[in-house]
Amino acid sequence: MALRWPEPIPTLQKEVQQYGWRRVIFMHLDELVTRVTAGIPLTEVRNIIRGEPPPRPNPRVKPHTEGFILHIKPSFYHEAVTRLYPTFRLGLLSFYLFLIETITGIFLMIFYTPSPLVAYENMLRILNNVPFGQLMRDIHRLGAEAMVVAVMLHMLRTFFTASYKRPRQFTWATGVILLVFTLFLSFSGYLLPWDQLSYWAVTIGTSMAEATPPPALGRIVNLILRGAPDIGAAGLLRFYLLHVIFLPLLLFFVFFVHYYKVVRHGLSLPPEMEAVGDDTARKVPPEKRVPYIPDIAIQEALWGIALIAFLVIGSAFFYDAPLEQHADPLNTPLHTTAPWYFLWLQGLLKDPFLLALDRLGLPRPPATIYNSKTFMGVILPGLILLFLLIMPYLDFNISRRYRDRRKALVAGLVGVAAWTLLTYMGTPAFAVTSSADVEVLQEFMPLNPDPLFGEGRVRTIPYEQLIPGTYDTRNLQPPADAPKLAQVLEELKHRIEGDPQLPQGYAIVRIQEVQSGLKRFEIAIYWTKTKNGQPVLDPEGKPVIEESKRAIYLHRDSGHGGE
Amino acid sequence: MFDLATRRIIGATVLMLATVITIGMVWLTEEQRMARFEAMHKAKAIENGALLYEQYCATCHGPDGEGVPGKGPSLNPGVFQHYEQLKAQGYANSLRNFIKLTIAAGRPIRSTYRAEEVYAEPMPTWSQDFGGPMRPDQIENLVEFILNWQAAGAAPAPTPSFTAVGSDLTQPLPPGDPKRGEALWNQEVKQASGIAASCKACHSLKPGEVLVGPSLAGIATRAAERIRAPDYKGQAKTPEEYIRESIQQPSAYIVEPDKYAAAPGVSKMPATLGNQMSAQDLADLIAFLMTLK
Repeated sequence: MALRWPEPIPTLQKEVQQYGWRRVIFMHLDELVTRVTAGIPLTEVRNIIRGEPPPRPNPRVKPHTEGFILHIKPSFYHEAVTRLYPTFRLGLLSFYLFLIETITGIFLMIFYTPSPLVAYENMLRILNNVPFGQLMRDIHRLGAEAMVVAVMLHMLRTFFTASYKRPRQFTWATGVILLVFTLFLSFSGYLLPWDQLSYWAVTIGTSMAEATPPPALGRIVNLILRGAPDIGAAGLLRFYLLHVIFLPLLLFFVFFVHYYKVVRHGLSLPPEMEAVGDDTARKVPPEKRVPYIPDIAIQEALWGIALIAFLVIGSAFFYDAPLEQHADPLNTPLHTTAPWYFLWLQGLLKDPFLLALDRLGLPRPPATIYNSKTFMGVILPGLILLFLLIMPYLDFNISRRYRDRRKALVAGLVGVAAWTLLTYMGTPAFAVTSSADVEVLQEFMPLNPDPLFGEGRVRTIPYEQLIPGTYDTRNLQPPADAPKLAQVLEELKHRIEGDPQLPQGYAIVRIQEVQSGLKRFEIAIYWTKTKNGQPVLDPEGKPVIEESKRAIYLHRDSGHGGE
Repeated sequence: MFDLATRRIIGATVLMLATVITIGMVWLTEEQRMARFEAMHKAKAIENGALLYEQYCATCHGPDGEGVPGKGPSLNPGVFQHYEQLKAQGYANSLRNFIKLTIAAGRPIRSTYRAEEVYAEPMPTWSQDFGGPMRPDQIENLVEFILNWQAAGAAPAPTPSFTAVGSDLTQPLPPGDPKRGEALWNQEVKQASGIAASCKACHSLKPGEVLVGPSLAGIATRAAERIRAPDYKGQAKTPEEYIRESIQQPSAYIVEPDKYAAAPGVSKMPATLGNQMSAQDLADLIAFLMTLK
């Protein structure tokens, strides 16, 4: 016996009989759209596309109350914050970048193993054996740099428009935490390629941890971070886990606290629009309301698509994530730098305080009282971070108007200037002293790509122009058909002759072909040894000549030579 | 013309199209790009390998892989010839792996290949896996560099400009000139390594001074005593023949083996010296040494 329902369920056939097939298709499509959009029926979608005002009750707010994704977003914005100023969309961009980093990061994770034995090889595989591998890696890296920039600018913007003030102090504090997480997220990813650049940048970055006072604690902090006294297999695994699980989860959590507070208090209006001491972000008069659907949604989609276009086109045509030689713990590159956003810390570690004392001719304080690394590497950055966190609670100026905040604005600009100056001080261009001959060799042919000189001038010579022979800068006769070689030799001559620390200096350049497609390029620098401006004489009364040599090999296919 | 929202939608569409076209272009060129990267990376590996070779290998195998008598065999073309020989015997590994394994694990025992050439030390282990100093990627770089010799075709072995006496003791020698022999004693013969060395680099003429080999002061007198010694195993009947044998076949008889043997029955003195001198050179050298009474 057939099972009978209490009421007959309308079958498609019956519906068509009852309403006709056009209407049935519409009804089912309408239901589908309403479900997918969490409450906007098809007719309303048509109204939205036509630009018509919503009916009452407004079905366009349904996704905000019914759906999960939009329940966190406000259903309307104040018209004043929908323009570029005052938000510049920096928070939104940061969030988008986080999503893009997550997606590209998972792609890269598929091909990556966090072990010093294979990590670098995995990078090579991603670049030479994974379709779109290079694109994904470039997007991931470019996105990471962009995210750091976006988050930093977001903080500056919030400071300059005084959006951190009451009642948004806590929002600011969570934002500072997010900035720190972003920096560490980027920094922890820096190590993963396991090349010379990443290895030494992270070695510098983590060397501060050891200076945490007291020394016993410093050792423990260092061990926890690196997994061993130096970065090795344990350190790589730790940084990997920080990068792919721990920091993203923390960041995700704090982000929702941050965004909840943003929505709770409303996006702060441009300062000049409110009376001093007022906060009217939540009281938006009806005529100032811009609905999220469709206006803000379109705008946010545009920003997202523009960002993706920027990253994809930028990575495909203009930007390549660097990959240097395999990490070599025994070979420190001459000029090692932290990632650019930590250069200010490296600048601090060169200790401007001691440099100033030296410049003034004052004695340095004893190391027992003033430990430069502890103070500049740990205590001062810690104090800066603490100050940033609690800064809104210390600001008793209730006015958000620019003209009432001259001191704060000047302080902010001074802070930015100091950061820029310290960043410059962190680069090898500032107060890095190695001997003059080493600097010349580094400038012309560094063993690892140098932050100042790149791959060096020798590697800009096209392979065909590396004509074997011996060239003496005192009597340069380069072959006529090698203009670039001639130019580099000429530069070398001027560089050495113009260096006061290389008196009567000259160089002998030897180019040999050692294998098919492989040439050896050697620079030997000679100069007179001096002491107090006087040449040092050997027992026979002849001036002592010093020598410094370096050789590199250049292969036809290695992509040097500027092709 | 259009309102703000429409302009935004148009802008987003254009940007999305640009992105899609870019991805399409990347897609179309991806194969070539990967191949290009592979070639570039290989080139860089060869560059790195060359630096490592210069640092670690050239002392024993010569800067151009031509080998250094007494220290290390020729790699170019030695290693390729050796591999062919092994393959003929049924060795089933690839050339790349043969080179890689030899570098990584070293040569704990002397190979049968060119067994007549005597090397003071066996090949050490180089890979960190076997207690050596090099990381796996460095070994790979070295292998790329060594294989690159083959890319150009193995270089022909240098042909000597004279007929060498080798280790043949039966070839009659012309009369020797002690004056020229003394010059040969002092003459630095450019070794295959590019390093010039002479007899006196290892043998002193001061009585009792041991550099690497024994002092040769009074060798003519001593040679006469040696051939009469009860433990003498060589074939020499005269002091001249004894000196000749010591040069051409240094392992025929080793005085104080615990001092002068690199391995049991193998002298520290290179067995290849005969390849570097003509019969006249040898006769002159013997004539000079016979003056050291």
